[in-house]
Amino acid sequence: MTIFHIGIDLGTSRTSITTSTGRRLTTITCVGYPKDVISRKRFGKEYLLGSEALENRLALDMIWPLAEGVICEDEKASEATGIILKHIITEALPEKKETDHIYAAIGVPAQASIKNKKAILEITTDFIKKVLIVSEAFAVAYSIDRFDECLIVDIGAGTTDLCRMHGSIPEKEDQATLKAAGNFLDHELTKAISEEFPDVQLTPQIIKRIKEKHGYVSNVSDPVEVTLTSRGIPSPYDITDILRESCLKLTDPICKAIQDLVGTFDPDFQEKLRNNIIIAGGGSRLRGIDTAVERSLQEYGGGSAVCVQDAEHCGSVGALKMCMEMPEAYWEKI
Amino acid sequence: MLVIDYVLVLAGGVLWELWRSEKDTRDMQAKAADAKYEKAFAKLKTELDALAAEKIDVSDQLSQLQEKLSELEKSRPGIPEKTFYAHSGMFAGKPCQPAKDSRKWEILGQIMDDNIKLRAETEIRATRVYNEGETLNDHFSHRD
Repeated sequence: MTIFHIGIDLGTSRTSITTSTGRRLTTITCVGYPKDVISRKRFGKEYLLGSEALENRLALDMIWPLAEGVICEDEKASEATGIILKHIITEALPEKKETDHIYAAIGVPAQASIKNKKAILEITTDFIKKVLIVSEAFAVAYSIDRFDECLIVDIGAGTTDLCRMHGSIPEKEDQATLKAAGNFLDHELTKAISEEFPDVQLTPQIIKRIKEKHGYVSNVSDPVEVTLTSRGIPSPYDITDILRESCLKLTDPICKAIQDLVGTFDPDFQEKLRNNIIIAGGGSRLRGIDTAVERSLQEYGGGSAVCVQDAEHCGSVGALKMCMEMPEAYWEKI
Repeated sequence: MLVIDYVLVLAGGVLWELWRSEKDTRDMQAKAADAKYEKAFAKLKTELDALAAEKIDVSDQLSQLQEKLSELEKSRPGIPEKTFYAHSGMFAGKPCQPAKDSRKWEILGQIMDDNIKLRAETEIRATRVYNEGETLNDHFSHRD
């Protein structure tokens, strides 16, 4: 019998896994069920996953089980989460035999409810032998070995998790979860573009592509010109200012939360905290977000923020590291 | 009129050349693939002949291999390769190493305690549901 260790970052938009065998995979957190008999016959499957589901979404009922950052409270969402986890594990560990066991750590938003954590335990019972549920932001800190005074800001799609580290497990007051995250930015950007150019045709995928390619909060940027269609006719549109204003709507509440966490910390360590801000998650790819955070801390005496190198796998790598460093005697407790 | 005829003939010639060169490329690729497979089959046949000469029965191994292949197929329904983006990771081949640093032991211990507490709460809820006569998912009993 072999024991495989895995770390999973169960995200609203993407789910990542890192395994003790050295594999890292990412899939889009969605499941598509055929809408009717015709589509069922066309696909020949009960469901489609990830990018394949997204590409065929017109013929599918799409389920985004973690749309709000945590597992939605319905049976379909639980089932879809189980399907995604099971398949990403199967794909990442093709060598696993039936007699082998999996020990896993799964990252969830810092302030996920007990009900939500229990839901994950229930879903994974059949295919994971031992599971640890950990805060996503804490997993990021663990991946980079930062337990001393630092502030982790994990900007995901459904939630932004902030976690103040001070050498031990963070308490409730050290953590904050905001709804201002990637999906919120998508919504704001859609609204702003539609107001400025009422006739353009937008879909969540178009908005996501624009955001991921051009999103920025710096004071200067090259002009952002994108091709959008109006009644099927493609034309170039300049969205430089719209994009920045929308992105600032995301970063402003995050900066405010950072100020709050810094301001309520032990005054002797505030300076150290201000100078050790680590930004992770998909949102860390917004150009200029580190300097925007630093700017917001000017009246507090300045600060220093850096973005993690591997935004996509940082959380799952931390979760795996935790699993692999967990002494066997501790595992035996569960 | 003569000029138009000439242009048409010329265009026809160019199209014919294009079609022929594409066909040649396809034929060459097909031939290369065939040669590759023939070589692989020839190698396999040689190996099987050698085993047969030594009177070694490989039918059991072959049927086991077949079973494994079909299991593998069944275990991944509906997952196209492109759904996932794989990379080799920093943990490849590294053995499990319990943390050496005492501070980490403390932190990991706290994580485990939190999870034990969470699990205990889950089990209490399951028992209560059972007592009320609702369906009990008996997964808690076979867990660990």
